[in-house]
Amino acid sequence: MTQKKKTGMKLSQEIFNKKGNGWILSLITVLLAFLSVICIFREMTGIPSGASLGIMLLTGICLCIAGTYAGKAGKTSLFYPFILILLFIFVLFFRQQILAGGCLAWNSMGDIILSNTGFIMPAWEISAVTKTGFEEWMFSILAGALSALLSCFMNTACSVGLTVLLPALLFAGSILLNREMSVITCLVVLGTSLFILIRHGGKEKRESGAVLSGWLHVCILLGILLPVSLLPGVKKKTEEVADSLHDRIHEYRYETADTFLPEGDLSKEPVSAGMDRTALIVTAEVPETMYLRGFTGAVLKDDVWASLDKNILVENKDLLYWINLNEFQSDSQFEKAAEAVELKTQAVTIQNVSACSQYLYVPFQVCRNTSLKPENLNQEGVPSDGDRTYRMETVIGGAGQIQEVLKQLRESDSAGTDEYRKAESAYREFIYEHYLAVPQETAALMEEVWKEVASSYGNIDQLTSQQAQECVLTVLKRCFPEDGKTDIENLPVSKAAGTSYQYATTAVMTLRYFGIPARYAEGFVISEEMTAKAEAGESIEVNGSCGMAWPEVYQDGIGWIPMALTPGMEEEEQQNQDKNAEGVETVIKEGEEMEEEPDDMPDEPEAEGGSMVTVTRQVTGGLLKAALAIIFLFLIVVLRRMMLLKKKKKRFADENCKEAIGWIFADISVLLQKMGFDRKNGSMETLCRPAGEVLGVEFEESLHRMISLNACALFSSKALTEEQRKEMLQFRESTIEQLKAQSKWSKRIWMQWIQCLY
Amino acid sequence: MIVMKIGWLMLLIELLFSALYFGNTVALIIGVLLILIPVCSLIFNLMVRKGLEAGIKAEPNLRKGEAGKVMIELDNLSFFPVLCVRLSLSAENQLNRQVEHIKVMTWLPIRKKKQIVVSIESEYCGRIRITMEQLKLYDCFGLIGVPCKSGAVVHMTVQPDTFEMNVSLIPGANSIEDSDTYSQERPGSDMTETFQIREYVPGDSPRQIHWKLTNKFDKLIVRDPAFPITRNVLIFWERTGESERLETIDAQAEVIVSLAQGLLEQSIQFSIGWNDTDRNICILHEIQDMDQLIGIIPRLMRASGMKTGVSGAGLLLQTRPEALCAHMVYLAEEPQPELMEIKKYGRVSSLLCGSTEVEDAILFDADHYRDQLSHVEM
Repeated sequence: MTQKKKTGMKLSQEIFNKKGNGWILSLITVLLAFLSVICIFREMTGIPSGASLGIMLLTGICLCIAGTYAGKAGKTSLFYPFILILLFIFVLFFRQQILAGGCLAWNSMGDIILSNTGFIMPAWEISAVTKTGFEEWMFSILAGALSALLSCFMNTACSVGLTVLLPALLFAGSILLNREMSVITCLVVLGTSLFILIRHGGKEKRESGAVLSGWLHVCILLGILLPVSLLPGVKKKTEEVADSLHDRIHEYRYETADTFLPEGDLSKEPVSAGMDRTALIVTAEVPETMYLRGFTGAVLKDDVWASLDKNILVENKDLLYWINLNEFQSDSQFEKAAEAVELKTQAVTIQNVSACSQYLYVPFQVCRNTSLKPENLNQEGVPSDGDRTYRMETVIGGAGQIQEVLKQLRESDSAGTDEYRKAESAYREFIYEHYLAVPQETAALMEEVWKEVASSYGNIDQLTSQQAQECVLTVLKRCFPEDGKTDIENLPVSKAAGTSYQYATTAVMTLRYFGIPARYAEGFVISEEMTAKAEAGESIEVNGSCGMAWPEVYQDGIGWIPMALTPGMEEEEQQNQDKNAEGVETVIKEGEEMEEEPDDMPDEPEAEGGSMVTVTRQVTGGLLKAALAIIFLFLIVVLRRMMLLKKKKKRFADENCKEAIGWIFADISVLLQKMGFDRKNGSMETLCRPAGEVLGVEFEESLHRMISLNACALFSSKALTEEQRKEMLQFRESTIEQLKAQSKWSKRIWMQWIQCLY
Repeated sequence: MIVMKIGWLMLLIELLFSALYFGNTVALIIGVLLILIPVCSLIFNLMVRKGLEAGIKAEPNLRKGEAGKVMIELDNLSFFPVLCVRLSLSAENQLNRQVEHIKVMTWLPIRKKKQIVVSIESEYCGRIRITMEQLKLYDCFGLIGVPCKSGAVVHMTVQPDTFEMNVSLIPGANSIEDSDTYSQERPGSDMTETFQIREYVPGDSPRQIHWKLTNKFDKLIVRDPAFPITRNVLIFWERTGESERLETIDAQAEVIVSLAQGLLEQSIQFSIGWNDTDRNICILHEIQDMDQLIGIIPRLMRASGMKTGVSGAGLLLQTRPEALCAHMVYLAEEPQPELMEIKKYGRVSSLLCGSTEVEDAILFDADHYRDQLSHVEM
């Protein structure tokens, strides 16, 4: 580091507003920063509201004012420790309430995240929340105080950092919530960042006029430009750009030039390029027919298949979380159901060559040990991080064993099967509630045919499941006849006319209309012909022509199964695959055996999660307490050290030089003892030689001198000088340095903080 | 400044990311604003710069260690405000060549004059040249600067602190000490000329009694002898061979002014000179009274030195031999070889504050010169 050469000249800008508006600008900045933090916090957690919000704001504003005033008075070094100690005491007194308030905020944030992303966060159990919301108040005070302290500190330490940090917080929150935050929050946070940036320039020179004029100009321009942002065209265009960017990112991350599956987006004509290229290379020990599904859709809107509305997940989060805790995984449901049958499994390796790698392509008979994420209830399809090669276990001959599995599931009384039946029952209820919806526009197109077919069986509400299945097949046969000449003009997803995507969509809608829960699935099918040619363990090249969509039916008891694999459907569905959009003739057999629910199935899943949540809460509570205890202990250690060192310093600075030198030498003898030079009952002179051997002759000579000086201090009537005191202190410093050099870091910490030797 | 630019860039990246990734229109608008403000400011600033007048004013004299004021006046004659004006001011002590800079920031309202006060303080004496080196108009983020006319200059002199210096001039054996002018202000000891005639007061020497007038007026009248004024002294400050130690330069400046003051107190008129190391010339001034000395101080205080080069003594010999007097005081840090040559022309008293020892020289150092030179015999 270069040191600036002293020139003897000093130039400085005179500040006129020493007592003027400089600190007011600082206060405004801190308040804006605090408000921004609160806005983000509120957007993320949904609390505080009402009185709690008032309390939080009041606490924060008071602290912001106090912090700014402390900064003005140059007392920031006292302000922060003082407020932190106060907060520490506050937390100690109201820890239960603050913890409960924190739980409320956490759970609320969990709901918001779930409703936006579908990601289920573990809920915290709240034991006693008073009706007055006292817990929320206490938590609001703490959160407000911490936000205000952060704002004050950042404003003092690095205001440009605050400029960058606030939008970063906003965008991190947006990413976490998977949506942009409200206009007000964005405006407050981004506007604050802009203001802070402008102020930074003026702060250096304390030129408040420049800052105010900058703010004024920004406000005027913002006032002109903001209404522009509210114009529908601007909003739409921005969203289009964002969507386009998302598509590009998706393409970059997951797709190749040969990727062609539409991933549920049937609003555009499906791409046919890349159909002749290899999409997947599948290696199985026992080659068999597989429906390798990637994307699955639950809701059709504007000809685009999407996952379930996240609000439905929020409404059912307890149920879904409970199912999840019971190790129920919808993607590997068949394997769980087949536990009682003891079917064999095989390893399947998939190399994704050109298909979209956002999803893993897995068959319905995939085993749980495949790395499926436990929170996978949040989205359709098995997500992947762009993996292009993966290995999984599948049940061999799963398609042909469905009836056997259903039978065993009904008859088995093992504890594992019992647990599974409970979870499946709850999940089935959820499926029946949400996978039967038919959008109005589709119903408008198809209702006439559906009603016409159903009328031959009587009242639609009184159809048996057998009749419903027959109706479905009849409708599909009319829509997609073998000769390709249909009398129905308008079918759903007209852009995908004549493709498996249209067939799958129509089938799903028809199934749903007749009360059979169904969903749309996309992926690749390994047909019997392909498996017949392949040897055991040989790689099968799955090219683009095998990529298609198919309807999946929720088979009670065993989960989502491709409609073609439903017992009795194989032949017809194979024909459909060959013709790409052909009718279905045979009957879907529903697992009627599973209608009977187990007696001990609870009516509702346990509220607020299961035992894992309680354990998590206990662990976190324990950790929090431990952290508080550590902080408290640390404070005690620091205070003790400060007091002891102060006492020592006072002794060393005693007016009576003799007294002081005596104390310093006593301290030196302790330090020497720590270095291993213990005189025991002997004279200090005996230490000179061993100390000299270890620490050098110079140290030995100095020690000699100090011993003499100490002797003078103790026994001589001659007065000692200030220089001699300084000399003794210098020797003490050098002894400490030697001690530090010779000790390990752990010993150093012990001597410094516990024994308080220096 | 750089921090602000980084902050601006990072904020812009964040805003663009938000606008593009989330379709956030507020972020888009603020991002646009972040670009628009510097661009608009640039246009305005280009228009403003023609109608901007800048000047500096400063107090002419300053005492050492005391703060003085430099006023920077900016006058915006245009119809646009300037969100940020940054100017760089440099102050150079011309005696010791030390330079300090300060950057000043302000803003300018429409058609308004603004005054910025910069405080200046110097531990060392010397003439300080204050220059407005750079004047730029910026936007409120300090991104794009529009340079304006600058170069306004002002000078101020940090006066040396003088000390009491008793100077005794010992007449040289070969020198001619006769003077044809006498002091009008104080009596002396030259009985050949009369300073004033007055009534006798007890304590007056009987030798002073003017018997003729006593007889005439019938009371004791005495005659004060006159004080002859000597003009046969040259003080020369050697500016070559300087070590650039600020304290030493400062000490020399104080010594030369104190010496001049000491001589004037004795009504000794003298010449004062030094060598201009930049132009290699010898500068000489005749000092007859205190006003002349005060007038010459600003010039003296910008006599910057050099470590090597043409010596002042050499220049004096070559260019101004007529200025050599019977009494010469040679003040230097390191004596130059030509000093020996000068000694041939008269009695030279060397006042040296360097490490080289010279015969008959009076040595002093920067820390104790006031004590060392409180009484000097020449």
